[in-house]
Amino acid sequence: MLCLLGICFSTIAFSQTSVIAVKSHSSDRSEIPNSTDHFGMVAPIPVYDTLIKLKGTCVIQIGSREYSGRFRDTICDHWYYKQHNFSEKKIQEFHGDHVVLINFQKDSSIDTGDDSPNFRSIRRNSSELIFLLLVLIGLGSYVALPKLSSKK
Amino acid sequence: MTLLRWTVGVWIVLFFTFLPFPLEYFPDFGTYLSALFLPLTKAVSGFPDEVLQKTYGFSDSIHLYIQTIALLVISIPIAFFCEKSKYKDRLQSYLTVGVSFIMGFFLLKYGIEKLTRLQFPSPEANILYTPSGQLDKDILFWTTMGTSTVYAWFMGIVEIFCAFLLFIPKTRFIAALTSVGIFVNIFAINIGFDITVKLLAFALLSASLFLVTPNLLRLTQFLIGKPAKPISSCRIQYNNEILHRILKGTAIAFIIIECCIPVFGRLNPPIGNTSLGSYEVLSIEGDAEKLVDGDVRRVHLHRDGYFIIESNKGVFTSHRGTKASSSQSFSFNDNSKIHIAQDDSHWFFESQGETEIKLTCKKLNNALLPAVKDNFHWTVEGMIETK
Repeated sequence: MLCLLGICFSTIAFSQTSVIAVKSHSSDRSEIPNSTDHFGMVAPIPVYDTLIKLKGTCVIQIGSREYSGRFRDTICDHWYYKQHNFSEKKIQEFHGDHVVLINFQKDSSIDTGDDSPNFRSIRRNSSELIFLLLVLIGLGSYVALPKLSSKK
Repeated sequence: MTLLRWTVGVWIVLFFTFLPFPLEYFPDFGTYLSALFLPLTKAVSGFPDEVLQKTYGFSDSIHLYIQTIALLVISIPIAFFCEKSKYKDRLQSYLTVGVSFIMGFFLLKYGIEKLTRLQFPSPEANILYTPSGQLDKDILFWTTMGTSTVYAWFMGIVEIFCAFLLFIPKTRFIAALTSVGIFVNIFAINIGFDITVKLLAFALLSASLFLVTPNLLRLTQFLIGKPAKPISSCRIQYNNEILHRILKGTAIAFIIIECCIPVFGRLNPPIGNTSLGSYEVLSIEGDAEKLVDGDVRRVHLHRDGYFIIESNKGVFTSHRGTKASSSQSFSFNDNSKIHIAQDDSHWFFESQGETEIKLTCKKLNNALLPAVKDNFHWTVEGMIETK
């Protein structure tokens, strides 16, 4: 059962649908609902090392992805955490002892907070920020082009 | 523009706005918007709530079909309003340019995926050892596509080129025409090989037809040699050139960022993955009976963290675990581990937990398999093996 639940946190490393992903590792089709569909899009495998529960139903997930390095992702209202009532015991059981859990419920009860259920934030690594900067420079040049041409 | 055309255009925009498509750089707003229709799906689909809660964001889920129909119904009054509006010419140009940019996004996204081989990657080790007759059509198609770098690159380049042509008003029609060809093929493949991206492919095909149809009569007249008016290129009229450039440039920048960021960090080779692949089992020590009755022929380490055991009867059993990139051990969710070691000629898989088993294996060089080798021959003579 834990193996099946595990799929919810494992995403497909290569671009394929959940059905093809499940078939690619010769698994049973009953795993399909627990896999993550990406419309054939990229989703690197995340390996978590710290999970921090915020007020309400949000969790900060800190770890690294196989290809793109460190990440810090805040998700809210995730069905897996909700299904286990944010229970420290159950989530620790699934992730293993190497994952540090902070502020999870020892008595499996959900506290009520006022954070937005639609909030999601991801911190980016430096290479992505450099790329972002290059795109913004390109955008600036494109916008400024008519002015530069008219000055000539 | 007729009411039907308005309805199709509005439906396309709504379909992609509410599509739970995974975005890497920007929030998955489609996932949250799509959840608004979940009560409707739960009421009419007949599937258990706990299944729908997990699958509603999936491609070709029942939820996506119900949502699509609901959005089509919603599109009709909006289209009626647009058709009657005094700003309908302006709305029409917004709609056409909006659909072009949506298509540009998807073509660029999938094109980059193909070019970087993230879509259609090289087949997994366990699949290479599964007889083709045992594979379903979808995984067989995916595997076949994964064997050809040249074809993946070709498709990727065509899609990227087409995407950029869609951003330019003068080349928008030829790009839309090309994309009709691309999406007809993709839709036919998804139907023919039962790949679960049928609805998205249909929507993209509809979008490309939406862009092509206004000029179809002129194109036909031109092709049959009759005098034809020039193709009209739809563009939004702005009085302020700088504002136009800011809006268009920002939209293209967003699309480029969203399409490139997910693959950006993944072009580096994975670290510590030298142990992935296939192993032929030479001997088993310990509680061999606990391991598929001791009937183990090969083991395969899958990229997504699966330890797969292949029996002599050709049955594959998959166990999900985690392989830390820096260590040579495979951790399973029940806290058991498999430690991987090697000497000059052998690999050893030793379980550490309640069951003690040691497999002595020989690593198989999957790169030598005919399906993986990128062989190419111009001539049939080149294929004849000389002794």
